[in-house]
Amino acid sequence: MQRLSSFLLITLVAAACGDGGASPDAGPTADAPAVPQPIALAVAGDFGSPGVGTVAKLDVTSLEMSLDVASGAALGDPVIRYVDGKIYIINRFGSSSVTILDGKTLALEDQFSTGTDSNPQDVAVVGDKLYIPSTGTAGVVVVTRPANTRTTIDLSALDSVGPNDGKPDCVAAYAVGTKVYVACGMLDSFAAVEPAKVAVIDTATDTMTSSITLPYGNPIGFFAKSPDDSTYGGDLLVATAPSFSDYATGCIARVSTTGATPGASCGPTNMDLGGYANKVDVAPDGSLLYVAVGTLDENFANPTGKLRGVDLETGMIWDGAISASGQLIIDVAACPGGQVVATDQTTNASGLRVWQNLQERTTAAKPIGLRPTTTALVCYEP
Amino acid sequence: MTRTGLTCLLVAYCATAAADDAAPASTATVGEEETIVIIDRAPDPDARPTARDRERALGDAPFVTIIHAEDHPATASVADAVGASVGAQTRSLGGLGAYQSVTVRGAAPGHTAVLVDGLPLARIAAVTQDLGRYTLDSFSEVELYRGAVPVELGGAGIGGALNLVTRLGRGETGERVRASAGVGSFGARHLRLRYGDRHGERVESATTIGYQAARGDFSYFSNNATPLNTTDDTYQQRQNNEFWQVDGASRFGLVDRSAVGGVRIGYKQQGLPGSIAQPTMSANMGTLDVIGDGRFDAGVGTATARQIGYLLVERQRLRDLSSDLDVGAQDRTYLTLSGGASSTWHAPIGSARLTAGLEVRGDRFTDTDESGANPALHGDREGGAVLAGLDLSLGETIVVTPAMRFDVMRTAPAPISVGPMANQPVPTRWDTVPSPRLTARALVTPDIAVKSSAGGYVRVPTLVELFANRGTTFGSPDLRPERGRSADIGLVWAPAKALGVVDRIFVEASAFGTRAHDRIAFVTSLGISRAFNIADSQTYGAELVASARLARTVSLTANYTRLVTQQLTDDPNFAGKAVPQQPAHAVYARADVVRRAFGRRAAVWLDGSWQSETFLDEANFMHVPQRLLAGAGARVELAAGVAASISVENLADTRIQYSPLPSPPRPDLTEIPTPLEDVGGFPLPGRTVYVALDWSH
Repeated sequence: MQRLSSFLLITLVAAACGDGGASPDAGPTADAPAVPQPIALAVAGDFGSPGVGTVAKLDVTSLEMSLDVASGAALGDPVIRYVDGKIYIINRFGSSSVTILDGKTLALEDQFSTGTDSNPQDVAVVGDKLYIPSTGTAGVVVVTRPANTRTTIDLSALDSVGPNDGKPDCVAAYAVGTKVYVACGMLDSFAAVEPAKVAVIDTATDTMTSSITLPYGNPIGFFAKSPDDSTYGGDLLVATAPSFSDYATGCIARVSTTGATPGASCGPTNMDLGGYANKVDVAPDGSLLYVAVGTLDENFANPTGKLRGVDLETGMIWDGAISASGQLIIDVAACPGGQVVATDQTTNASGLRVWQNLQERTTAAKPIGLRPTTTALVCYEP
Repeated sequence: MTRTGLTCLLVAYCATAAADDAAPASTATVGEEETIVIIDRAPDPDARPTARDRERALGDAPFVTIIHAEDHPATASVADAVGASVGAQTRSLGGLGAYQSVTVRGAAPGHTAVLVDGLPLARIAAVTQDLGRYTLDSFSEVELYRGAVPVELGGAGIGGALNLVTRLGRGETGERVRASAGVGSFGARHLRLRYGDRHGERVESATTIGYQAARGDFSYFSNNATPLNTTDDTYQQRQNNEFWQVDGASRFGLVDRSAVGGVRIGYKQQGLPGSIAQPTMSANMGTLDVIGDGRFDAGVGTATARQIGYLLVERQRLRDLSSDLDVGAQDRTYLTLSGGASSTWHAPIGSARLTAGLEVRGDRFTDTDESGANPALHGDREGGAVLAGLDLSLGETIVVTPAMRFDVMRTAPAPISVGPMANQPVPTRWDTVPSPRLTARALVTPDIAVKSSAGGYVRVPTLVELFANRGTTFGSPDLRPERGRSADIGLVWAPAKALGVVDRIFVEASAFGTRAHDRIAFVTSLGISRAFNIADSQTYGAELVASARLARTVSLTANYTRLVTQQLTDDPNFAGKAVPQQPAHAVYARADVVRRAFGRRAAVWLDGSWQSETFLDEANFMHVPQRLLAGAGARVELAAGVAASISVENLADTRIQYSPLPSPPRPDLTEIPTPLEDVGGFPLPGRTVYVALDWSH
């Protein structure tokens, strides 16, 4: 709370001095120094209409929203990644494909299948190879561009509890140097019956060299890399949700990527967060971890969603939420320049919201054209 | 023409116009004299100068489309036939035997009640019926109530009602026995036999048995789930799309229809091929349907009371042991048992006629996981209804019928036995559902009627929508029923005599509007699907049907539907946008040429259907381009009672459509090829050919 209070105090003083205090829907002042001009891209799919999706673009500075900016790029059940100047749209259930757009122009660069019924979930890029964890496969689909040749890395041996269906439910991937870390849930009939594992892939040989057992089961969302000088020491962070309604277990897991024997531990627990983390993202200045925290009741109903912050210097979770009560925050993306964009899934009022210096600039969620989902938002400077 | 000949003609004519409950085909009253006619030879099917069903069109207040089995290919499903009629659209998952549903006047498929011989099929577990599993030829006719629904046919139906009617006695042209067999593209084949006759002077019967099957292995265009990348486009062969089905029905009744009963049994085994992007190799479904009913009329003073009792069984077995459908390995049995009874009284009150009735019904649904991994979901619904209507004659030509139905339903699921909610009591739900309606009909001249109707209808949520609690699908016990109002007005012109060389003239024009509230849909979020009341919608439009015959040789039929739809919702993503998959314009036209050559009857026909661009989704992002599909066929009598026919659908072999991209992701990419499909991801076959032989005696 102390950190939050400090931010608010600074913000109020700045506003009182007439120096760039954010007002709702306000753009930058004319005499402001050159600041990043980030854009946010959100994707969404229509579960009722297979293969239908959309890409919306928000100019974070002007708060101008453009709908359906790249027809056919997002299909059913899409998620999105921004890696090295390119946009990767991973079309999951019902589409099983990846679309690559130029991050600056949003022009189509490529679209390829990851294999029938492969159900891709994420992408990590190493050179000309894309590592795509896919729940409909034995682990990770590797696509080598530009020919888009396709192989699969079999990680089914990770599943050591209960029936092994040969599909280890790998959902997230992150490249660190020449290694790719892949989080797999090994679910049995959608139930997390064992702790999740992270496979370490050597991209030179495209084989699993080791695996790390996470503290809890059911990894969700994407990996985020903590700053090396943060309290998490450069670890990869990935949320786990062994239960969506009981938060006595589960945490944002830390995965060490250095040393001879990488391991895993817990960062903020779900109990501390008051829910499970739908998405985590690190502020570009490395000071803050944004967390979209969700809850559901025991009937998987009455969802809540808050945007919360974790001080990366101390690991302390801020008291209270950055988002206002009544909002249903399910996704978050930190933007260059300090602004943060979050997805509000409130029924009939869904869309994107923008904060700057912890003050919300938007007066209402900016609709994106379809009901938004998680891990479907990025913010970057083209 | 002799008196006997005239009577025969009249009898044959009456047969075509008779409803299920109307006087039987071979009984007619001429003055005071009742003449019983046994037709031993087929009447001339070309002799009738008036449009078919003229009397019903002029005399019935609701707008009803009567679909006759003999007007369609032997393998046509009920949905195939309904989809070609005005105001209706068919949605198919592709190919002979595939899942099919219909929408009427823009309403959701679940808003059209489906009845078999007047018995409403169960809606406790699923709100839509797979009309692909009902072969049209196993019935005699289908009544599509597009607007007002008679109060006896239930309270659900902003999208009208579809009543599948079994004909008793001999066939359309007086035949006792009719048999047909045929083969066609993609392994399509059928065998069907019907026997119908009169037994003695009082009893008639009809018995049908049939077999139908297809491999369904047509080739289709696949964009490989990469619509923006045309370099990987291919033609694939549909797999796991085979089906076979057998059905049998037997029905007996008294000639005056004061007592009728029968049983209908069908079994269908089908592959569930999945979508283009998610094809399956082995997922399959077996469905057993049993329908049994009996009814009799009793006279009480001047009143007549009709008592009906019925039993419905639907057992489905879903097998997806390889998790092809991506919802986990499944081996499930769904069992729905329904039973009910009703007593409906008709009594004259002066010049008016009062209808009043009482209905009771019970449904029980069980969803059993045959693997034993999950407990069975089961529940039941009991209900009753009181109904009343009054046919008020205002003068000799105007009839106004106010009617009211009031349903009360109790829905009770069993508690689940695992998970955090294990063994917790689940509250019983009560629904009280009024559905008023008003119809009026004025016979302006003997050939012109003006008709209008208005009504309010309700669909109670299914057990799954209310209480499902399995995997990633959950119900919402506090769902509100879907409600709706509809109204229409129009006229019918059906002259009794020919106008020069033009006869069988029929013109029907109508305008309609509907408004639906609290539409129920499953909304997926965070990987979990839950039922919600999501939105309202409104539709309005117009329908035009016209048909005539020229020189007793060329018959022309055409219908046009104009439909304007709008989603009424607070969600800015969908507000004001069109309801998906509902074309603004739809046209169907058909020309038949019938001639006699060398003493044999020969016919050729050509038809075409066109629909304007639609949207696949509620946000109206995905455009489905306009399409024109044509068909053709011929039928030739080879010998007495024996004929051969050939029919060709999708004559131009259309398999690709081009969808525009409103925001091209590349300047040169303004449209993309997509497969011919009704529902996104489920392709339809290209050209199909079917040849058949039929024999009547």
